[in-house]
Amino acid sequence: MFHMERELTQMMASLETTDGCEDRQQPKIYAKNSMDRFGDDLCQLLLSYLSFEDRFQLKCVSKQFRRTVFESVVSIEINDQFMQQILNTTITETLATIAIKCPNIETIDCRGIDTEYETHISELLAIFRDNCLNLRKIYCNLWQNSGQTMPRIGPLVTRINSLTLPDN
Amino acid sequence: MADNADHIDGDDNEDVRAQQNLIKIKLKSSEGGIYECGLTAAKMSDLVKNMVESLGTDAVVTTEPIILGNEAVTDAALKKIIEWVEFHWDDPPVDHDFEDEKDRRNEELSHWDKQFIDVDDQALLFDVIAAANYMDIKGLVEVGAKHICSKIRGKSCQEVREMLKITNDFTAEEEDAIHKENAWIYAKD
Repeated sequence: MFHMERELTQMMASLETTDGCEDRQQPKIYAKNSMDRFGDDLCQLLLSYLSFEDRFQLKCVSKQFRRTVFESVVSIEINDQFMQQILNTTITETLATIAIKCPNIETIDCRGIDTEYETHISELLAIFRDNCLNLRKIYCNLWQNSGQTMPRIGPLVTRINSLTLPDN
Repeated sequence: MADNADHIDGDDNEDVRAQQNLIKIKLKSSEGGIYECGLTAAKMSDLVKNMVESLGTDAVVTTEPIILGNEAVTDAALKKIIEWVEFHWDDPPVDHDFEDEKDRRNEELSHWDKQFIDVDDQALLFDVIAAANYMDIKGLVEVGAKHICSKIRGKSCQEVREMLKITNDFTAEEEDAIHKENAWIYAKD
């Protein structure tokens, strides 16, 4: 192609370059003290210790953050506190936003949902079932009327394990 | 070839590991500096481990140093990395069970690791992280990641950009649109 020589020199002078970046035509040289120097893979790994809320909060730092901050979410824990927080919003919309952003979720743990919010569990699981194609494990408590939940995910269930805690 | 089952016989044995760490090998930074490191410690780097296994331990001990060509592996970064692996080489092996993994991810850094990674010079900090990533030292990358996450937790986007010297490449309109998605976070206030 053209400008090959210049591109090559730039490439050699650059440190880590951001790969797969949609709007940069050429590799750039980044300052050594700037996090911009890291490629997407490393950036994703570095951000993987953030809480769920922090991820939402910080996805507007840069396009690289937006691309990478949710990639590492493979499990999500939904408890009463979380439900309380999203009850003030349109629940389905908020849950769908989360599920779409985190397509790599494999595990949902909703054992922290108490009976008060139990009615939402079936809806919640359906949303994640539709958006997270890698979903493999669901941890949840069973109640007397859990029968409503099961038919919605029923055909997808291939194995049920019962975990009983020592004190219960 | 990062196959966990791919252990050499006796590799997990504590005595063997301690004895092997008395064997010193040489590592060469991208700036040309040569540094000694215990064999067991050095093998915390999957990159070094694979090289040692393909070349044979004898060859590595007696011949030229192992060259770490990535630009992030500066003299200063390599010295820090050797300090870390020499402290951690006898850590118990990591369990990848779901609950254990979750606990480990949520676990705070030890006092020693906190002091180790709290480097004022951000260029050096990033060199250490990038070099650890290149050398495939997962434990050290994790320390770097936890450190960065602890620094940016609860901060605003602008504060994070300033701290980590990140360029804001969003237009004002794009930024507004993103803020709207966050309604549920602010709803609690």
